[in-house]
Amino acid sequence: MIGLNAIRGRRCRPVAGPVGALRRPGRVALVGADYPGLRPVFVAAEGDRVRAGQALFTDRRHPEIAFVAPASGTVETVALGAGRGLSLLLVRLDAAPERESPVGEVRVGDARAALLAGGLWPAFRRRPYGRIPAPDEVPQAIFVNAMPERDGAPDPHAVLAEAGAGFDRGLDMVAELTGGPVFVCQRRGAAFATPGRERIRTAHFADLAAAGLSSHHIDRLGAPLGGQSVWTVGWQDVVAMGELARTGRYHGQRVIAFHDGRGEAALFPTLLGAELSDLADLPGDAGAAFRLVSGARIEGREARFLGRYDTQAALVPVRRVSFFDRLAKHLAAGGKPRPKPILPRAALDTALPVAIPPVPLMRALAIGDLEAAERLGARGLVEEDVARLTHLCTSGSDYGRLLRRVLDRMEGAA
Amino acid sequence: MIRSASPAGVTLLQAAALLPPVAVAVLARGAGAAAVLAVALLSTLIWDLVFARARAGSLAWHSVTTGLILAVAVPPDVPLWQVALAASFGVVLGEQVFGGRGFGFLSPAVAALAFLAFSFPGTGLAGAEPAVAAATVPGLALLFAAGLVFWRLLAGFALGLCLATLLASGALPGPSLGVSLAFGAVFLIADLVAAAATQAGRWIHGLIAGGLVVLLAGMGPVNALVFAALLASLAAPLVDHLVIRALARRRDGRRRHV
Repeated sequence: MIGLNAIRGRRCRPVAGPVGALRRPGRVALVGADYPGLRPVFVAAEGDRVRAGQALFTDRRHPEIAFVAPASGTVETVALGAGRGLSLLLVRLDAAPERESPVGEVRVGDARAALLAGGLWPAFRRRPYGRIPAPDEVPQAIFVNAMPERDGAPDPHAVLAEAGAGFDRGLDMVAELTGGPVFVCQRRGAAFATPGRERIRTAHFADLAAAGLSSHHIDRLGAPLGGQSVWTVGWQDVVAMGELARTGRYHGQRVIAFHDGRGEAALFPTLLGAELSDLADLPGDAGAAFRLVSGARIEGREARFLGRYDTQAALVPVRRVSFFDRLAKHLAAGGKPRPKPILPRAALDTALPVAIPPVPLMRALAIGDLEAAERLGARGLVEEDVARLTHLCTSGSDYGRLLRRVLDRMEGAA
Repeated sequence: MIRSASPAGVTLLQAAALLPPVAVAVLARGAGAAAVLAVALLSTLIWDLVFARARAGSLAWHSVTTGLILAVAVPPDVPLWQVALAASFGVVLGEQVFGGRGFGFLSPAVAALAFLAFSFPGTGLAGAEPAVAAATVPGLALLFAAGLVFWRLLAGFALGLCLATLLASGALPGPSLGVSLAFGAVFLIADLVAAAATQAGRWIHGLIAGGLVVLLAGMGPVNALVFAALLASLAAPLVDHLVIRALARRRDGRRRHV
């Protein structure tokens, strides 16, 4: 009976259409919001010319980890945020892409050093806590997410059908980093990895909306034991790793699904951190009626630039205020806003990718109850897992932020 | 991030679901029921307003649903001061002392009705008429479509009712019992806030409530249902706690080397 907490219901609808031509933005940016807790040490300064794959900054705690430019251009803005964290690093791209010639293959055994210097190390995130792993960490297992993560994400099948060999080479790179298995998590019927290789295992998951998130795969296939970690990585980053291994070049392109706010979606490659307004076919009176969102239409965040880990972006029409909203607002008018309650609803029960009861989790996060959150299994979660709770909950709390606060305290106590 | 729900929206939906049974009850019972409706609404709203002022906040309006439930479940011959007292007790001690709706663990309507039945013996609560049960159906459909009622809880309640009756009398309960409990099951037992918060917990919560109704059947169907709802909602946090512990144990047991 307890098993009924498992997810079910909502099916995932990825975007499968043909992949269009590359859309090059005018500017790209690395945004601090993608790297919680990162303290950058800048290698490039404002006005510097940078090539694709050239380091822009490193992590102060781990100088080996390079964060690189997705394409060649000029550094336009470097901005620090709170606590000397990164706010934004903006690169204005050259009008024409530079001609790239291969610099040489990465030899077998050199994967770790190549990924660190080549700018692809930040593609990995470790559980617990969902941070970029330390350069010398060896995980128990690595989970490659080759599923459409959410509704409206690109279907890996549309891209991997062509990039097959690159994906396999990337998986070899990934497998060098761990002594344990590398799980390629994919939809039923998909076969992206060439079978029969040591330690690379394929796992199939149902086409359910919450089954696309890595937390679900980890929950099903084996969560880390005490003190250990597992890593997650997206399928497009594995393709980029294959490209790095083959040519020695940084591959800064990602195929994204762009939703135009009228129910249509297009698949096309663009650059990491692309300025979204350059990708959008903005309608005439854009400013007032639309917002740009990086990530899924519902759970994503309003942003000017494509997030590092996002595979979709959207123009979201600003909802007209309905009669219902105005009535509700009118009824609640007067006085200062009080904390709003968490009212349980059936929709919450299918919102999480793991078998954690959502309402007790929301209550524990809302009051910062570390012990209850731990007992419920919050340690293995990351922000993307609870995004749908934020969308559905009546309290208006941002559960991603609340979860990060709890995770920070758990990390501090560990 | 798009947000899809507000507490006021939930209140409006619940009030809409309550309108048919309230209309049926008032039309069938006459002027006495209209007076009960007016007094119940007035006293609940006054307390809502008082607490909103005391907390320098805005009026939540949720107490309207409490008033509407009381209008159906309180018989028209109850003195109006008793209605006002019960409604005040329910809203203040069942809800507002915890910080308002959604912050407590009781249904204010259940608290008010239990107070009424307990303090004034001989009060036989109403709301068991077939017409009210029929009028509950569209409301149930609306709440179900909006995800504001948990089917596991209602199914557990029906199951508990059948099992307990079977144990007590050796026969399944007749449809008349189901009809007399329909309104209370949807609006008292299946309260969003008072219900258990885990899915297994909702089954258990329903089973407990169903069993208690049969155990307490001697005091009349709606009275039994009110006390069953009260006791079951008091047990809900413990049920949730046990379910979460079982889930955690299972997670730790399944955690393995990959």
